[in-house]
Amino acid sequence: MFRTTTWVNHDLNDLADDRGPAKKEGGTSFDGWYKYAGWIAIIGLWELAPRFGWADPQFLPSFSQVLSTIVQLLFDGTLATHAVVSLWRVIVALLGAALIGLPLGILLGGWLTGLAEDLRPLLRVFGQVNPFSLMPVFIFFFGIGEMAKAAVLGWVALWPILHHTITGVRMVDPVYIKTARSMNIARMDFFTQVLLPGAAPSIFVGLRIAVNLAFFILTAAEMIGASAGLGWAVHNAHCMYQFPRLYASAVMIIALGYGTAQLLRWVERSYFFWKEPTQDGESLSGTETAKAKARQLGWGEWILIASLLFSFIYVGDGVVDRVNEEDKNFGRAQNQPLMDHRQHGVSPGQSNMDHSQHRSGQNQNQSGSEQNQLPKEHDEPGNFVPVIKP
Amino acid sequence: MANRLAKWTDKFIDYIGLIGFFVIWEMAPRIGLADPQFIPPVSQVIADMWKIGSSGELFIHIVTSLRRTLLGLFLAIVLAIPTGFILGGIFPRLTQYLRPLLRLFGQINAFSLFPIFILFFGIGEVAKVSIIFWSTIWPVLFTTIAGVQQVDPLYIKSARSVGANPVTIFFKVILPGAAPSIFTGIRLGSTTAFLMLIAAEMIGASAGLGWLIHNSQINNLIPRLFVATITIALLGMGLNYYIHWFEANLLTWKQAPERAGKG
Repeated sequence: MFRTTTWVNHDLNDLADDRGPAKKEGGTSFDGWYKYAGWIAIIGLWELAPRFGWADPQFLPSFSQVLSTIVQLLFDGTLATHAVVSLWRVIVALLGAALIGLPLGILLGGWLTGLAEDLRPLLRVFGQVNPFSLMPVFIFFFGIGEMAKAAVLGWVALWPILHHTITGVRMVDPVYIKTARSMNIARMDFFTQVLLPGAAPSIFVGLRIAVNLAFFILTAAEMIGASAGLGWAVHNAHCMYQFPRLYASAVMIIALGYGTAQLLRWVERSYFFWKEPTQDGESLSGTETAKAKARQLGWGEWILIASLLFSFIYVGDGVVDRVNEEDKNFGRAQNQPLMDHRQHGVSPGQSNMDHSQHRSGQNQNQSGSEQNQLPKEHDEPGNFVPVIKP
Repeated sequence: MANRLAKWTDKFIDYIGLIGFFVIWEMAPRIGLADPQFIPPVSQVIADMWKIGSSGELFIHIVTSLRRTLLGLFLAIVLAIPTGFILGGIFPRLTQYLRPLLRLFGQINAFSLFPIFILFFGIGEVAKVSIIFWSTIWPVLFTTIAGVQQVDPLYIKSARSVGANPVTIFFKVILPGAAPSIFTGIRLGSTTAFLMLIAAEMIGASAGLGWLIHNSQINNLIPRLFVATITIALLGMGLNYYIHWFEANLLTWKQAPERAGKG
């Protein structure tokens, strides 16, 4: 039933690795394109299903169509703007959460262990509190706008980071600490050479969970109340039945989330250049492939990464401001078609065009009711759209 | 008696952070540190909770949300564990090919798929349950595959050498060996699932705790909003503790379950 050879051939580190048994023999034999056979199959299916009529092309546009929509929207700038806005929100919120969570976690885990123990149930409750329900509190503290949204994301991201930082600091091997102490290490060196590297694996797990959760929540938050961002784009496309745009935005969200996660993995690998990939509950979802590529980053590279990050935040800040300003000025111009529909139903006959449409609709309905005995409500004016009766 | 008293004192000290938080929450609006309109004192929230709870309204929302969560969770577990055993145990080569795809699926934000779920399954319960299903199935599947592949080959070899048949090996060696890893996946999945559900109910539902939050927010019923918040937090913790309890009772040979996850 179960081929035992598969277990015999592996040792634990191989299992943690993507490459499996081939790694020991050839090294790179599992690095070819066929590693992505699953992706290719799914995309092929997606392309063929609407073309051969297995799925309704109106509801499931083919992959090439979605791709061309993405390219088109990227060039006309709308999708790019939404992507920048979403990414900016996530990055700002994550940086905020990390800036609070890391020092606090190190402090609680390293020095105030008694307090950390006392606070544990409270932190656990906070971690379970749904961020959306705290919206009024955030609005009370930060006002309406980007800060409240960033606070929702930051709230979600803060608890995993804090929890894993506390755990990580406390899990540092006491032997290392004692050895370092016995060598009379300077306070700063102790921190950067012993404590931080020891706690880092756990901290990275926390960061990864935080990134995932922040992306989840961002999409939901943008769907519920925002005027820009990819979540809004998905929601808006859905409301307006623009299915290729819906799929395009969804694919963008997926690509961004996946890309961010991969980026974080890469940073983690570069930080732990000396280490085999870690194996734990969270990282099981994606174990590392390119172990061989990992190497130590120099100071220059870290500074480059940081400056790229900050310049993105700076540029993104401008974009977000512009988007919000436009939203204020044009009064949600993009929602207009939706609003028109509603106006038809609630207050018929506001404009001349509406009048004539209603009349013709009425006439048709009346003649229809004589001939075909339509239900009575069809006689009322303006009933060709969903109606809220006065 | 003294023993019990000491135990209670210990418990009290354990929860001193929580108690302090509630005291601050009660005092801050009363002495004017916070606007009571936005942050009502905790006693008012509890009074409101009693009011909604005794009329049965809260109960309906809790049951609706829990039913959706448990249904999605159950379906995901039922599907993911056998698939994980088959992929991890019988077709390890296929698993390698599928791994990038599965990893991508695991990263996919269930919310970006929500409109698509609605498209295919309608606005009803199925769309909401499918969000839970989607966000739970991948962690469980991954951890099951990893759990199966991490069973010590020595155990399997020794079981073979004493003449155990494959069925016995499966139930006595592989299943117990993979169980801790599987439980980690279930715990991870259920935490995310609960968060997702609340957001899904805010977007489109007519009952459930997420709806209660959304509705209270629109109607500016701040105490009711906090009632919903506390209920969700308690339910989420309850679910977590239940899975811990279940794990501890099922895996009696394991000494102390590691506490992964957030919180």
